[in-house]
Amino acid sequence: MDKPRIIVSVNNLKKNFPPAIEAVKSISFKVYQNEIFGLLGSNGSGKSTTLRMIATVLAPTSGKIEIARADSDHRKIRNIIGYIPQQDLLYDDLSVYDNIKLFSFSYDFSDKERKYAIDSTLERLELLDYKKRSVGNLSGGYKKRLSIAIALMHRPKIIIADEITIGLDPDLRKKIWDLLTELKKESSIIFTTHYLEEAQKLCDRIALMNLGEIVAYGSPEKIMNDTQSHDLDEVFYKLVTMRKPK
Amino acid sequence: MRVLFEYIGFELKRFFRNIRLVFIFFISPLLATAVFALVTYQSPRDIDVGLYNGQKNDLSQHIEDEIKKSDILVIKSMNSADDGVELLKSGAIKTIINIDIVNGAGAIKILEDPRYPEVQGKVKEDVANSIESAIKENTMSKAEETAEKEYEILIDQNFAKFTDSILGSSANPLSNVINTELENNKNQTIKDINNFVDQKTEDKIESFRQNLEYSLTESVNKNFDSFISLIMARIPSGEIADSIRDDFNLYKSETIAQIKSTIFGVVETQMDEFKSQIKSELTNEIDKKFETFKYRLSVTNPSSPIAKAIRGQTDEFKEDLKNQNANIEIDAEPISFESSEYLPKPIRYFDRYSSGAIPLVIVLIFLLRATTSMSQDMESGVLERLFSTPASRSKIMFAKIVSNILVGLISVAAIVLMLKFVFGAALGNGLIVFLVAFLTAIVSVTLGVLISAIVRDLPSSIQFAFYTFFLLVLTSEFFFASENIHSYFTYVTKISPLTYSVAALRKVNLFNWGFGEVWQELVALVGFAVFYTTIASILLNRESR
Repeated sequence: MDKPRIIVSVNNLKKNFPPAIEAVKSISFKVYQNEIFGLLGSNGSGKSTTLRMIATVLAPTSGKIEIARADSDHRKIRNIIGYIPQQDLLYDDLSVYDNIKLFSFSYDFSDKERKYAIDSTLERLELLDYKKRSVGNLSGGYKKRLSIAIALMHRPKIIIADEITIGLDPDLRKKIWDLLTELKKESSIIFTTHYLEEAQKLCDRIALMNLGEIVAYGSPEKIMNDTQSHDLDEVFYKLVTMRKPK
Repeated sequence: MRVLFEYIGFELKRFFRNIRLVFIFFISPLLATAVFALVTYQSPRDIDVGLYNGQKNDLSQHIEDEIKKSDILVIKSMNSADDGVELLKSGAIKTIINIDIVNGAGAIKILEDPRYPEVQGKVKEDVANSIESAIKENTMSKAEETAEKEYEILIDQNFAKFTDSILGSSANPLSNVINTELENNKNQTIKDINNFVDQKTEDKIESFRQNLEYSLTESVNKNFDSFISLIMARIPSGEIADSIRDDFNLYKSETIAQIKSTIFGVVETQMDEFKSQIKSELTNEIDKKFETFKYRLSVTNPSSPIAKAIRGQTDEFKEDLKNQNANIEIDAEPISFESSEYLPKPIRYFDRYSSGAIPLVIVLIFLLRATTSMSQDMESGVLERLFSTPASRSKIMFAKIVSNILVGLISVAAIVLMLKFVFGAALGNGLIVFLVAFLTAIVSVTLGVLISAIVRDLPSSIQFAFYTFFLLVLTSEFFFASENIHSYFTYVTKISPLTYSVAALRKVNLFNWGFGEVWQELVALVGFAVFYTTIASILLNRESR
């Protein structure tokens, strides 16, 4: 079996927020091609900060993030990354189509390519019927679909998804799981979630973070074995809850 | 009640733990108040004024020296009044003082830049104070000296006229009166003397005649009586004797009468001749005496005693008057103080402020619009999401700036058109007005973006924008000239873009000046826009934020 190709390599990554917050404390991990890599942890563990640094919207205090075929050129990195933020960061006063079109101008599409990319992505996310509707009038589920559509329209090699299933109904969560599974065929996915069963179900490998540090790293099965746990909830209890400072 | 106190306690705790709130409610007002105090710190001073003294006489030099002693004026000497206008136009000076004094009289002419009324008031007050002593000490004394000289000349002229009227060589009224009086007196005197001579002669003749008559009568009577007695002694008494006696007596009477007649006739004749001679001699003598007297009384003869006496008295009186004139004081000031404004075209009170109102309104609109627009997108995270795409942050920011400007341009056009057509504002070159307004809008938007890049959340950025607007207005020289500002703080007017907008629009609207006079302000505004954009770009590109 071929050795999997490394897509993202994070080495000794640190992020401090002055004056005294160490959000991420020298973490290292790798993400392979066509895998779903989960960053798990409680609130404030440093998951989102790590994702934002990989997405180049936040500069690391120290350490290195290497993205395959992008060197350290932010423009190249952003071209192969699709970033789905935790909140649906959209212009409520624009229509669905205008929102995705606005973001499309960030990429080097020809007019024809742009139209195809937008329409195909909207269709994939079942948004075509809503494309003229103002985003302010959409339900949370459709906003989330549009947010995902914006991240996917340029067919990124790396998808960074920050707690994208939070607050969604089970039906939509299921659809997103299916979508991520489908996307895995063509991209690598780094995502964060609070739902451990979701991580256990979707992720090929995970990194469990606590207070800015990785406390467990590997496939869910390996971590469960290493910690002699039955599921990730138990792992979380042993590695995070039990170690919380009193 | 305890719950109420707990709520109050928690609210206070929340307040003091929020450093932004503390800044907004304590530090910002203190800073704003401090800035307000600093920009109104002093009565105008270090005012650049141009001074032109074209006449260069003692008095004008004295006044120039007095003005140069001023503590609040910075004097720049000029070679001509035209130089001053050029300096005024360039902004190097705010007032031209033209000392235009010749022969102790004239004017001190102040030409004011109408953009700085507060400064102008101070300049006038200071110049007036400076020259007050000079006018009092020098101008007034010279004026008094001049007035005294003029007064003396007037006295001399009037006295010359007066003496000429009474002592002149031509027939003057006094001389006529004196001569007429003398002539009348002479005639009356002659008449009186003639009458006196007649009277006295008559009296003397009468007395002489009576004496003579008595003596003759006595003598004749005595001789005749002796003769008659001798005769009668020889003639017997009787009728013949009586008749002879009677005849003798008659003869005696006749003889007496004849003698009397003869003698009296001779005497009468002699006396008449004598009287005529006396009269003639007396008349001649009187004529002579009166001529002498007339000569001595003559006012037309300069050497006559009376003319000398009158002249002496008038000269004395004239000198007295002149001496009294030594204490003369004059009321009118021979140097006037004139002030006018440098205004190439007539403007109204409103026009002075409309030029400042345009950039003020523009800054208010665009600064708030850009700040809120950027901050809203930053706070919501949309901007961060856009930044996660390959699009350059500069492009995104530039698009924000341009879109805000384009929206605002409609507002700018509406403001300018309303001022022009509703209120009839005295606007200058329309193209420059619009260009300045446009650049002001760009600067305001870029400043708004910079504020958003610094502050990031909406409520704080609105507060920040308001304080910034407040500070820009205070330091724009629209309300307070730089001369009012604390000396250590004057540079703030130079780093306020609104200063340049207001200055440019005032030049264009008040003076009808063109690109040649406002290019520096336009360049400054472009510079501010570039500077703000650059800083904002650097801040927004700092991904660590």
